[in-house]
Amino acid sequence: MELEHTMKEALAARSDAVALACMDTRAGLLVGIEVRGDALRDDVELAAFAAADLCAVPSQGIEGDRDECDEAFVSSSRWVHAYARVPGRRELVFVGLAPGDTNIALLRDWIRHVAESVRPAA
Amino acid sequence: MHEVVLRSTADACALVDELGPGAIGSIEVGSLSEPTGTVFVEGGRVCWAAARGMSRRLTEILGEIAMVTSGEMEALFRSCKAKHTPLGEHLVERGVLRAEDFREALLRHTVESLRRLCSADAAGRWMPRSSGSYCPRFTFSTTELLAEVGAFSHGALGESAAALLAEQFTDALWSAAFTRDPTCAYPMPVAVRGVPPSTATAVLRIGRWAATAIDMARAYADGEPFVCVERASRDEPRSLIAFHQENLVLAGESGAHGTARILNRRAARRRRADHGVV
Repeated sequence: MELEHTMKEALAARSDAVALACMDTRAGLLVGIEVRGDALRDDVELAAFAAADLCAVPSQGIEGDRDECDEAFVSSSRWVHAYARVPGRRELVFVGLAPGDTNIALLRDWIRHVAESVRPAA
Repeated sequence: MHEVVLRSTADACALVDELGPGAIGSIEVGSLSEPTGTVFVEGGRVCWAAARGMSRRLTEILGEIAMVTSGEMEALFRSCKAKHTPLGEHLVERGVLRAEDFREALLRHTVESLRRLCSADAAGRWMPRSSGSYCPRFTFSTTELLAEVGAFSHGALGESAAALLAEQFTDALWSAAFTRDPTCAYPMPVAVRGVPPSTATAVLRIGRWAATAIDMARAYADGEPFVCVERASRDEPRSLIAFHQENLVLAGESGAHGTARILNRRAARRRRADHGVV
């Protein structure tokens, strides 16, 4: 309930964003989704389900492990998807969606702040 | 004695990577009774590969690069053989060949030899040695070798891929272009630029990551997605980038400015296409 409220508020505060989702990458569960305007809910879900793979890169050693990354984004002609892990709850990844002509740096800042806002208290 | 199957040059490169940066010795290819060739390794780098039936090939390549006739080359070869002097170094010392051309000839010869040595039934055995003797300047990282093998196998594609990397990744730390060949289980590098990871194993892993990330993003992002993942770094932020262009998977590592430049170029290209400007 608290997460849903945070997500509603965060999306309302960012006029160019059209969707916000939160994915538990360890459990493979979509734990929250807020959509407005012409964003397709199915596409937002697909973007969220890709979070575990997109927020990771191959490790630099000889062994074939992957390193988890804090942030990622996918830019295409129509949309920008920005991803950010929740500090202290790294299994949770937020994904924000905005039209392709949005300022990517500002969208990334926003999603980073959303992720930080649900950081567990120390 | 540990034997490894060397189906492809990627297998040979993976074996060298596994041996690690301290490895000195040779990989003997073929059976004990019927050896087909040898790959010499020092410091985790390939120095030279020799395959049966290719003993004169380096002389031919050196002749092509130095623009020396086959008769002159033959005379130089005989003279060096009599004096026990390596031909390539003799040509460099005499000013017939530049050191970088000699390196290019060695690389080409090593690639051709590796391609001949690796096959479905080729077995390699590691034979360690205690000390090395090759000049590090004339040795090759497995990344460099694999990209050269890819470029050699795919002809003009390697050249166009190199031009594309030069155009797109001007500010990147390194970049690589991969082709997706249905006969190959992994995206094959055909060009590299900058200072990529030194092991072919790491570069192949990045190629697989890039191809998968692009495919995944295509499922929900329209057109050609540009994927950028921030990699943890103690210094400045660094990003791994992946996108698809001209039937190639392009990947690279960049700082913030490099990523912004690529995005800007892509946006400009899209605008030109939208307005019908080529």
